[in-house]
Order: sequence, then C-alpha cells, then structure tokens
Amino acid sequence: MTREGEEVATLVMKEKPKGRFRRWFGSNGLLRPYFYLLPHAVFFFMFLVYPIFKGFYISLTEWDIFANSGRFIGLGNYRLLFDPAAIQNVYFWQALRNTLIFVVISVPLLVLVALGLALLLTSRLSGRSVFRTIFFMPTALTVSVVAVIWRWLLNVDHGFVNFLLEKVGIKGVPWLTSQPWAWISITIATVWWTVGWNMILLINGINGVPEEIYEASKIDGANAWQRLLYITLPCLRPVLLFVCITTVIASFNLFGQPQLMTGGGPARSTLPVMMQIYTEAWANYRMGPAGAMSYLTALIMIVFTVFQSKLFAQRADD
Amino acid sequence: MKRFRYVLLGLLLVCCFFSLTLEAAPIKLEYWTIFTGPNGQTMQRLVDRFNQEYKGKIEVQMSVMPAGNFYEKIISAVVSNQAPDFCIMHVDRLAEFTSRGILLPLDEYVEALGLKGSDYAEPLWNGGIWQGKRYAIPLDTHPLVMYWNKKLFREAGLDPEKPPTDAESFIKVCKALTKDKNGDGKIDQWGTMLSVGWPNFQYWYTIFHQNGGTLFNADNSQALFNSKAGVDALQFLVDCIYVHKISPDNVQVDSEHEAFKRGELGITFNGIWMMADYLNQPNLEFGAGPVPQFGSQKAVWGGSHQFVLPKQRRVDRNRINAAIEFIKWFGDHSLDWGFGGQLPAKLSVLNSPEFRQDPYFGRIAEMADYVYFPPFFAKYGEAVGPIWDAVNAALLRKSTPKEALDRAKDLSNKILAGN
Repeated sequence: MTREGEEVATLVMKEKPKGRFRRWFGSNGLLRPYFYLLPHAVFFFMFLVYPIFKGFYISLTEWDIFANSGRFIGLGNYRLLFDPAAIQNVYFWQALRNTLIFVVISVPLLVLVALGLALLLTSRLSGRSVFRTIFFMPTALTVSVVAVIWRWLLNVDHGFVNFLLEKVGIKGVPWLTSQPWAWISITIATVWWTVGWNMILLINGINGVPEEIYEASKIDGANAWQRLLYITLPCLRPVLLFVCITTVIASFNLFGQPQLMTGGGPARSTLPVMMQIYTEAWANYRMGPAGAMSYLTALIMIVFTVFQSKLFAQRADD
Repeated sequence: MKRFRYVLLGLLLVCCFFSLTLEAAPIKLEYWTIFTGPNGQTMQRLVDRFNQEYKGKIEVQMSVMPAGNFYEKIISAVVSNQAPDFCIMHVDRLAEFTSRGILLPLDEYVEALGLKGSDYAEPLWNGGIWQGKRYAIPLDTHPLVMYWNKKLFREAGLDPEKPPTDAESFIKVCKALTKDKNGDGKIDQWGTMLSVGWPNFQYWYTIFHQNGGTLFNADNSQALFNSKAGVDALQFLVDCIYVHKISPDNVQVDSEHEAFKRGELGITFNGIWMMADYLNQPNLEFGAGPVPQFGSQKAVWGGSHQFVLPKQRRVDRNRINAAIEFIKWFGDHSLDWGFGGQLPAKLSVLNSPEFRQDPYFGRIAEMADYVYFPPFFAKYGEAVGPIWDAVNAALLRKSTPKEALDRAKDLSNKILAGN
C-alpha cells in the first residue's frame, strides 16, 4: 500500500516538478495517507497508548488519588500480590481463580455452541435468516438488561425457570445463591448473550469455504461427517483461532454479569478479577495495587493468547 | 464644563445602580445530592421553598447524581477545585473523606449560626464528629425497620397491633405465621425470610450490638467481631432457618421484599426507605415498628445522611455561612423529608405530633435514639466487608458461624494492617 503510494507520488513528481511543499502536502503528497490515519491515531494514543504507560507507571508507585501523584516504590505493589500477609494477596488470587473457572467453562461452550449453530444455519434449513436474527439479537443488549432478564427468570421463589421445574415435579434450584448453580447461571446468561457474535463470524467463515472442495469430496465418497472433519474445520482454522482468542479475552473481562446477577456471591465465589481490580481502585482508592493486579492479569491473558496461537499453529503443521 | 458635570452625574448614577444590583445579587450555592428516587423530588421541593423564602439572598442549585459513582465524583471535583459548596454524605463514609483532608471542619461556623447538639438526636449529631472535630451536620437517619403483615397476623390468630418485641416472641409469632396453605406438603407462607445477601449484614449488625458486641478495638488495629456476641448473633440467624424453620434457605436478594409486597410473608426486616414502596402497594395491610430486642440491650443498624462542605481552594465565609443557613433551615423543615422514608435528625421535627402520631412513622421514631454508629474510620467499609461474606457463608451452611467469623476476622486484620 505504502509502496504503491510512493510510486504514484514519484510518478506525479516526474510529471509536475512543483516544489517540496506539494511533494509532501499536496493532494497526492507523501503524507496524505497519514492524514487519513491522524484522527484515529490521536484518539488511539490519547485513550490507549498513554493510559497503558501511565497505568504501568501508577502500578509502580504508591499513588495518591487525592494528590494525583505518587511515590515511586518499584515492584512493591506487585510484591503485595505475593505476600500472604497482605489482603491483596488473598482477594486477588481468589478473584483470578474465579475468573479462570469462568474462562474454562464458558470458552468451550461459547465456541462449540456457536459452531453448532453456525453449521445448522448454513445447512439447508428453512427459515435460516430468521433464526440467524433471533440468535444474534441478544448481542445487541446491554449487560444490565441481560442481567435483569436472567435474574427474573432464575429467581428462586418466583422465577419462570423454577416454576417450570416445579410443574414437572423437580424441586426449585437456588440458581443465584449457591454453587455450582451461580456459575451455571452466569454461564447460561453469557452464552445466550454473546454466542450470536461468534456464530456470525463462523457462518461467514463456513460460507467462505470454496464449494468445489465439497463437490470433489462428494465425488470421492466422503460422508457429511467426514466433510465436516476434513474440510470445514480445517478451512475454518483462522476464523476459529480468532473466535477462540477474542472469546478468551472477553471471558477474562467478565464483570457485569456477576456484578448484577450475583453481586460476586455467594461469599465471593463469583467475584471476578476485574471486579476486584475495580474495587481496589475505586472503593479502596489504592490505585497502585489495582494497577499491579491489572498488569499481572494482562500478562496472564497474553500468555494464554500466545499459547492458543501456538496450539493452532502446531495443528497446522501436522 | 457643564457637560462634564452631567457625565459625572451620569457615571455616579450608573455606579449607584450597579452597587444596588450587586447588593441584591443572591449567593448562588451548588448542592450535590444522591437522591435519584422519589426523595429527590421531596428535596427539590424543599430547595425551591428555601429559594423562595431567601429570594435575593441565597439561591441553592441542586444537582442529583447516582449514588453509584457519587463519591468518585466528589474526589475528582475536589482535586480539580470544582467541588460543590455543600453536599450529602453517608455517615459511614465521613471518616474516609475527613481523614484525607477533603472536608471543611465546621465547629466555628456551627456555633456562630446557633446550631446546637441538643436540637438533634444524639447518635446522629455525634456521627458528624471525627477525631474531636465536627465535619458534618445530620439530616436524618434510616434505620432497619420491622414490617409485618397485619392480615396474616389476624389469620394466624395473632394481635396485629402487638408485633414481637424480643427473640422469644419473634420465634413464636413466626412459627404461627409459617404454614402450608394449600396442603401440598410445601410451605408457602413463611414467618420471615432471611436473604443471602443484602440486607443480612444489617440483621447481624443489629443483633451483634444488641448483644453488646464491639467491632474493632480502640485504635482500629484489631477486629473483635468473632466474639461470643458476634457468633451468637450469627447463630441466631442460622437457627431461624435450620432449627426454628421460620425462614426458607437460599433466599435470593429482594425475594423477601417482593414476597412481602405480594402479601405472602409475615415479617420482614428492611430499611425505612422501603416504607414508600409498601405504602404504594395496593391491598397490603402492614405495620412498621422497631426491630425486636433480640439481645440484652437496645441497638439497631442505621445509616444517616449528613451535610458536608468540601474544602475549597479559596475560603469564602459568606458562602460557607449561606450553606449552613440552608442546613439549619432544612432541619426545621424536614417533616416532609421524614415522610419520604427517613427519620428526621432534628428533635423538634422527630418529636412533633405530626410525626409521632403517624401510624407508620410514629412507632419507629424512637429508634433515632438508639441507632448505633460504631466509631467510623477510613477503612471501616473495607474492614467490615469480610463480615458480609461470613454471614452469607453461615446462612448457606458452608461453614459454622464461628468458623465463618474467625476467617472474617483474619481477613479484617489483614485489611487493617495494610496501608
């Protein structure tokens, strides 16, 4: 792209040698593409790059939010997270464990259910577009709406789900107040809410698989199962990798569902790491340790992502 | 020369005019509150009335913001020198802000303007003091209240005007109210409902202080709540569910509130702020009274809204005095505020016949005398956090009350030891 731009620019130069200013700033000038990028770059630096560095700096200080400055203490805040006598140590690892539990149970579901739906909705099913819309619709809702809906549905005493269960003679389940039900409820709500997004990505991926390959395989006598296993899935690998990575990141960022559905309970068992970071920063005003928690969590997420990419790449070599 | 004289005269007139208007320009005060519900409208009405009465002198401009990030807003406002002239603050958050030097000490102004401790309910007035200095003036208190369904009382053969007053009568009454109405072997009407979550900490807190418990030691370096008083209080709540069987287990937050509104629950405990909701519920015949005395002394959980003045970079005594003038005026006119679901802090209003003879508020007004505020400190909110989890764990029988509170004590001590 840049090289093409340069070539065009030099061509223009040869035709009309009109001075330096036009060469850089003219309508076909060398800087032109960068001007298009500028608005985004400004916001990107202001709201992403700068906060990343500022946040990291804060994590190395004893930051006083009231004074808006802090004393540099090196890795002191990180040490707190590994010091058994510090409260941050207890709460952070507990919250991180909770988040990991959620990642482990939600990611496979969010990918597999999305894949199943995508396969169904790309088969010769009547009313595909209607179902596609229905499954995608919850994605448009905000987390507060989702949480309210599921809180009502899953209410122990007068929720619709328990009402149905009691109709068929099953004792009502304490969906939101005891484990493991609290995790199951949060996972169900999350899958219902976000699976449509992955589904749309996978549908596009499946539609992108060339029809000729399927035809050739049919002639060779491959059945539907074999076609799925040896054609669809391998062709979907890049999309699947993308879906897996974004889903893992999204699951790590779990916040709104437990906050609004269970309040992190029962007894902190669904309190995710993001909520703990938020509490540390904005309820306890300890920006330093909160920053340290954020960066440690980010590091873990990066490790996860790299591991995932490696895993997919390895499969490709086989 | 003559012309010049006219010009001079003209200038003089203009000056006079401006000085007059300057004299008449009211002091405009910015006032931040967290009253997003119906009590926000009550507050606005009172502010309007004040502005009417003080027309030309003081004009209060109220801004309402959601409680969720109110305190974050105050911080950033003070840091950037945009703080309001005065605002509302919960009594248990005061220490957090005073200890950081964000609030103005009020002693000199309060005395000069004739505000006296003897005019206010004692615990509320004392709640505004931190380390010997006054930082806040109370508006109200909002204690935990016992609500009971009078219709269900009559059906169970109980006197609807005689609610339980101690642990023994409470259990007896609740047992009479707990029944299987349609005969399917499943209890569908409960005596009470103890939720797993809000506001069960308030239940425990009330009984704990009724048992004579103390949360933290004098210098707030050690948690003391796993004492006998604490364990007994928690055991009592657990027994209500599993021994006396007067409450179901696994009660979801707000379920008890909704069941009471539907008229399917005998007794429930919730804040005084729920009164409006219950009063608006058609066909709900209920009573409101003090929380029974489960322990050896009177005490009840309560919050309190207090007026505070954030520090400004430039001290303007006129503005400060004007703000305190409003606070003083508000105290005298807080009857409507009380009926909005609060106990007014000012004794003349709290003990007025209008308030005392109200069938709902009259009975609970006495709680303003013994609502219990512990000595708050900056980390109070964080340090009681583990108790919230302990109460839940015990009510779910994940651990015994003793184990749960021991664990909470360790966590609290870690919080108190950290910086």
